[in-house]
Amino acid sequence: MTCQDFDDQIDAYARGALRDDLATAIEQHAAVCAACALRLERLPQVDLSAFAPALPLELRDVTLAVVRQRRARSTRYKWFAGGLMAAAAVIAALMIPRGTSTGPVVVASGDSLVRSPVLATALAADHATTEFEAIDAAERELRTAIAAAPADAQLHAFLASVTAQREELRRRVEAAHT
Amino acid sequence: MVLALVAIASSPLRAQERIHRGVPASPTVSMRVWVPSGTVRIAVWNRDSVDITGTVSKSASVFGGGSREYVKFGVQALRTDDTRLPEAEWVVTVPRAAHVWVKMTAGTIESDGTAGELELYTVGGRISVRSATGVTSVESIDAAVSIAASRGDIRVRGGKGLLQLVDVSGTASVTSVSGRVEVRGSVAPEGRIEAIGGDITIDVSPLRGVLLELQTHSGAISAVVRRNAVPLLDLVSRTGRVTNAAPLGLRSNGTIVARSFRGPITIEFRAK
Repeated sequence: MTCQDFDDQIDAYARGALRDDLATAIEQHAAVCAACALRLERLPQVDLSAFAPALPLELRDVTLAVVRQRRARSTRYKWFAGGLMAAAAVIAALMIPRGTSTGPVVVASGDSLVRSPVLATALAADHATTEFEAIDAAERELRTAIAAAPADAQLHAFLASVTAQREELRRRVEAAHT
Repeated sequence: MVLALVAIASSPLRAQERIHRGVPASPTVSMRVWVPSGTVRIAVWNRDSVDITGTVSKSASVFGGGSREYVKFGVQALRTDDTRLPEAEWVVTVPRAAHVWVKMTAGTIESDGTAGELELYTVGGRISVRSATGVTSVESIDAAVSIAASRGDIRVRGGKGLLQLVDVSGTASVTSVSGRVEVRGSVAPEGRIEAIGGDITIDVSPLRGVLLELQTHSGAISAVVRRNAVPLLDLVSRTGRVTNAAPLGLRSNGTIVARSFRGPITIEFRAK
């Protein structure tokens, strides 16, 4: 790889949009070229905590969980891409009008099957926000009722159903990319 | 040969160019389809191959290939900075007993006549299943789901979209958060339907010994029953109103067990 090739591909690398072999080539080149290594080091880092508090709870949890997974699996610079993709996912999710399913617009990366799990998950999380809120409201009602009648088995059965629904919905949100 | 197929299938396509791919396959081939946006129609035939025809948007390309036992096709964006979901309009024809898996983000999935295992997922859009006789699993966040004229083992997980089961028999497990659930027709599945805020409506004649368990948190539960075949009714709403719980019916006419925390439960009697 030449410095020109490096220049051409560094942006895609930062977005996590390069194939693994090209990403490896970027890193190998940076290992032997001080100037390009400096550029790689200066890729912008995204502070997740800066935007996480503003997110809906479920979207934040899912997005951060996926980013953390990617970081944990990574042995190299991919956490840069994870952070940037998470930021892109947040922007995309906030741009998508609630309650509409037409005109899908997300920040897509090169290989939608492999490269954009965070984006697909964020889109699903956004669509599920009102559903999570409905589940939360039902759970609060049931916990209040159970506090007044802790031995009421039927109330516990209702609560079990509601909490199971939350887990099901969370699983479906996470399944958007798998 | 497989590599050659993959290589051919992975080549970029021109704008809106029609595509056609075929792969020899076993009768029970596992077929996976990934199309983020657009339409995927699943059709069946009695041949030993899978076939994909249709179009791909100018911003996307086809990838995939496979063997006799496992085939996978999908679309992906051509440009890394593209802000649109890759889109395609496909008809995917598979052996009748194939195991078919389709995943979309926002689009329409339609299937007709499958006898194997069917797994469909989309975040939003619409899913329509017709004449399925195997194991059917449908999952969505807010898509509308319709399953018609089908039997077998049916599982539906919805969010806020309408879920309809029409002339469906066998066993069913259906959950919805705020979306309405409707079960209609001349046959009913045995199983459980749960919703949080979504309403559940049952209008099936006759139930014929079928046990339906219905549960909501705040959604209304309503069932239409025929006076000449009243099913056994077991109805409890903790704080909601229960209307027309009597007369008690016969187990041989079916059983409806309905539970709601605060949703109303209504039974409507009709002559026919």
